Order: sequence, then structure tokens, then C-alpha cells
Amino acid sequence: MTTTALIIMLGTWAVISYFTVRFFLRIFRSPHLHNPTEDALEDQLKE
Amino acid sequence: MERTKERWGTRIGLVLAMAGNAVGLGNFLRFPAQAVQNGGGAFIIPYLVSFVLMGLPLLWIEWAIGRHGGKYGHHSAPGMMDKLGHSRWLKYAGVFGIFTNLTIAAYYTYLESWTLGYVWYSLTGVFHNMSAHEVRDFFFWYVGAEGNPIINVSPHALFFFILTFTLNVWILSRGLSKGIETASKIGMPLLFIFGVFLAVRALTLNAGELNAINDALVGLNFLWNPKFESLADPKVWLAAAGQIFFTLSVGMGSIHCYAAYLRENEDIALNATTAGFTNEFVEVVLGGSIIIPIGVAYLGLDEVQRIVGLSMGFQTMPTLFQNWGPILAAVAGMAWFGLLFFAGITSSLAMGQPVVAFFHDEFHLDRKHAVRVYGVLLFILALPTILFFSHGAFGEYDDWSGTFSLVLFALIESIAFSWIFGIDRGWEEIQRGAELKIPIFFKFVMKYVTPLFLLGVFSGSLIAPKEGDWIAAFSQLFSGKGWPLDPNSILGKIFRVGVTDTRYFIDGEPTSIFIVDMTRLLLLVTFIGIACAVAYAWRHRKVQAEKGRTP
Repeated sequence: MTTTALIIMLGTWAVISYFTVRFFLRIFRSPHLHNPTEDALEDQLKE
Repeated sequence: MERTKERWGTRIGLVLAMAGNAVGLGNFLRFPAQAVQNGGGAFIIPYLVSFVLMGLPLLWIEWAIGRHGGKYGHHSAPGMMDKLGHSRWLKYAGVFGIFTNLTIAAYYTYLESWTLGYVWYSLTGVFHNMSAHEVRDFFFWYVGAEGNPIINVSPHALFFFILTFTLNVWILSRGLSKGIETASKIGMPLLFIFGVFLAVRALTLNAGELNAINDALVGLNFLWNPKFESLADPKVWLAAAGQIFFTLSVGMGSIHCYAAYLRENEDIALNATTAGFTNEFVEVVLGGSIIIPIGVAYLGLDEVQRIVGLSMGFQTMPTLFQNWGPILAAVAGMAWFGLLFFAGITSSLAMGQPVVAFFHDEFHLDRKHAVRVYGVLLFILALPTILFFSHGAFGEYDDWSGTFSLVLFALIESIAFSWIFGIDRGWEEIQRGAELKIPIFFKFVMKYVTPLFLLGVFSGSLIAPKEGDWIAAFSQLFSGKGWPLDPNSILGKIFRVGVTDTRYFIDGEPTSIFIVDMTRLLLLVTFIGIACAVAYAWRHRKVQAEKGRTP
């Protein structure tokens, strides 16, 4: 494998993997979309 | 309007469902082919540029349109587009968001059923001791491409289609959280595990081991070695933009639909970006590490360059896995077709939901009845692609629904969002509840650059020159010899470029031209039918509103 191909491949993999993991960690830190109790209250109010 | 109570259960479920919508068979079969044919490692430059300037902005736009429409009780494109401005025509642009999902799901479910069938054949050792030629013939028998009868399909293909179709309809009938979200939470991790297993096996192949003639690194070099001169070729940029467009599943209306089940202050910026990057990870890291390294290890560079694509996935991979011994071949076959199946079903579910939501929201059908209507329509539309597969029906669906309509709808929605709804309101919509700060630079990109990119992709498919050679085409145009249309361009298809015999019947038997034209007619009738349904639903709502009742 040529050095240029290796650098491009590893560089691309690193950038994409870094952002994927980073964003997923942020999602895992606040995993709940909403509070079920608040949702029920909001739905009741809308009705 | 009665608001639906359906919501996503968890944030991770939403992101996996969105990522599953984007991750499809193309991540593993189309991306490597495009990269190899368009400059190798240099392809990644226009690819990433397109991701940043067109892919990500379109994702944010579609999530924003969806969440905005959901606020008004609309979970499908006609209602969402209608809420972007005052023009009564906007809702008809949303017809594309139903049409594309319904018609793509019709042929995609069939394609997905092949992968389920091939999982079964791999596990039961059908390919064991088959020669490469026999595996290829098996595929032609399976899809009914043997001989030339006008209707040709194997009972196996029909069985696996009905099984896949039933599974899709059943999951959709279970609802958003219990059905789609659960399927994504199971399917996406399994897809990832199967992908990592195959990538590790592929990247550790050495020449001389298990009948391999090349190291895996030869394949990786083939894929990643940059041909920088290709960057000057417009064809490469169009191919990269097209790949980003199709891989993210934008321009369909399915992202809008999923986002419509969010509350108005819930984040879309971080969720959309995470789903987009997950798709890129699966495509570039996993998708680029399986089919090319394994193919080159056993077949060499020239053969892989010739066959890479959809056919290689079904006609060649089962043969190559046989080199690993019967047990590992069965496991690898199950993992390969299994990951394609999970990639497929998470996408086909995303195509079904907007259609179900359309009948639920606009015609007030409960989910069970809405899913039934969707099932009947899907089955009817899928039949031509199954029965007349080898006569071009499948290809017509892919061209008109899977290419033309997608790009046109994306172009319309990006203009509607930035110029009709207004980029200031649009930016505010994207930023509301955002847990990721999107640089202000993207406001400019969304208003000017993304529509121009889409216009480029649309023009590229509309007037693609012969063999994709834009430079030769322009010099031919300027020398007064006209534009050399490619037969596969949209205009080339409309004007039948390169077709000499246009007879519908020969000796009383219908020809492929007849099948192609009837397929186009069916797609046109479907589009008009959906437009009529939209017109009826809005007129009915107006009448109800005038009577002082909320429908």
C-alpha cells in the first residue's frame, strides 16, 4: 500500500470515527428525549 | 386537527432509526464502486466537501421542516411543505415525499428480500461446493433473469418477498416506538457487529492463505490510492455529490417524517449530525473495508473493477466465502447478507412510515387501517418489479423514483426552506433546542451553496453526456455538433437515445420497451393519484373548517 493511500485512508477514518464517537457520547450523556410525566401533562393541556 | 400521541421512546432509538434510514445497501455496494471508478483516494475529497456543503445542511433542513410540520400535526411531506409558506402549490411539492417513499419501498423491499433469502441459503450451505459460474446462474434463476419469457420469477423469490413484505408491514403496525424504534435498536447494533466481523476478516487476509492471491492491503490500496488528476473531472464531483445525496436518504420525506415526532423544543442539530456521521462511519470505514479487499484478494484488480457493484454482492461474494471453509463460509454469508438485510429493513421501514402517517393525518385512518392501505399499495406497486425484473421494470423504478424524484424534491425543499419560509426563520428553527452549535457560516451555505449543489446534481442526471465525459461534451457543443446525451440520462431516457427498435409487440409478444413504457405510465398514475388524494384531503378540511368543525 502506498504511503499516500495509507495517510488518506487513516486520516479519513480518524476524522469520521472521531466525530461519530464524540457526537454519540454527547447523545449518551442526555439520553432522554423528554420527561414522560411532562409529556402526559402537555398532552392533557392540549386536549 | 387531532394530534397524534405517538413519540419516540428514547433519544438513542431516534438516532439509530435515523441512521438506519440512511444506512442502506448502497453503503456497502455503491460507495466502493463509486470510489474505485472515480479517482480512488482522491474521490474522498469531493465526497467530504459534498457532505459538508450539501449533505449536512440538507439533513438539518429536513429535520427542521419535519419538526416544524409535526408541530401542526403533519407527519408527511404534503402537510409539512404546506406549512412553509402561503402558496397552495407547496403541498403538491410534498407529493414527491409520498410518491418516492411508496415507489422506492416497492422495489427496495424486493431487493431486501433477496438478502433475506441469501441469509437462508448461506446458513443452509446451498452455495457449498458450487462453482463461481453456478453461483451466478443461481442468482439469475432466483431473480428470473434466465431465458426471455415476459413474466419470469422463481417461487423462492416470491416466498422471501412475501416474508419480507409481511415483516415490514407487521413492524409498521406496531407503531413508532414499539415497532420502528425497537427494530432499529436490534438491527443497527447487529449490522455493526456483522460489519466489524467481516471487515476484520477481510483486512487480515494474506496472499497464499485460504486461496487468496493478494493481500487485503492490495485491495485497500486500489480503493484509496489517489488519482489527483481526476479532481479536474466534473464527472468525479457529480459522482461524489450524488453518492452523498443517495447515502444520506435525503430528498425522500422519510427524515421529515421521523423528525415530525419530536417536540418543538427538542434538539435537532446534534441528533441530525450524529445520524449523518453514523452513516458516514458505516459507509467509509466499514463499507470500504469489506467487498473490495475480499474481492481483490481472490479475483485481482481487473476483475473487481469490472464487476464491482450490486451484482458482485450477490453473484460473487458467496463464492469467495467458500474459500474460508464450510462453517466460516456459512457464518460469513449470514453476516454479509444479514448486514445488508438490516441495512435494508431499517430503510424500508423509514419509507413506509411517511405513507402510513399521510393516511393517518390527512384521512384520519387509525394506524392499523393506514398500514393496511400502505400494504396493499406496496404490494401492487412491487409486483411489476418482481414479475418483469429482467425487462427493465426494476430499473425504471430506480431511475424515476430513486434518482429523478429524489433530487428534484430536495432541490424544491431547499429552495422552499431558505427562500420561501426564509433563511432567518429557518435558522431559528434549526437552532431552537440545539445541543450543538452550528457555525453561522452554514446559514449562507443553506441559502446559496446547497441549492446550487443540488441544481448541479439535478442537471448532471438530466443532461449527463455520453459516458460521463463532460469535457468532450462541451467541446462538441461549442463546435456546433450538439450535446451528446447519454442513454442513461433523464432526457436520454425520455427521448430514447440509442434505442433503435421501439416496437411494443413482436410476434404477438410484448417487448421490453412495452414493459418500460407501462412501468412509466404506472409511476405517473401513482404520482397523479397521490396528488389527487392531497387535493381531496385539503378540500375536505376546508369544507369542515367552513362548517365550523375541526376534522
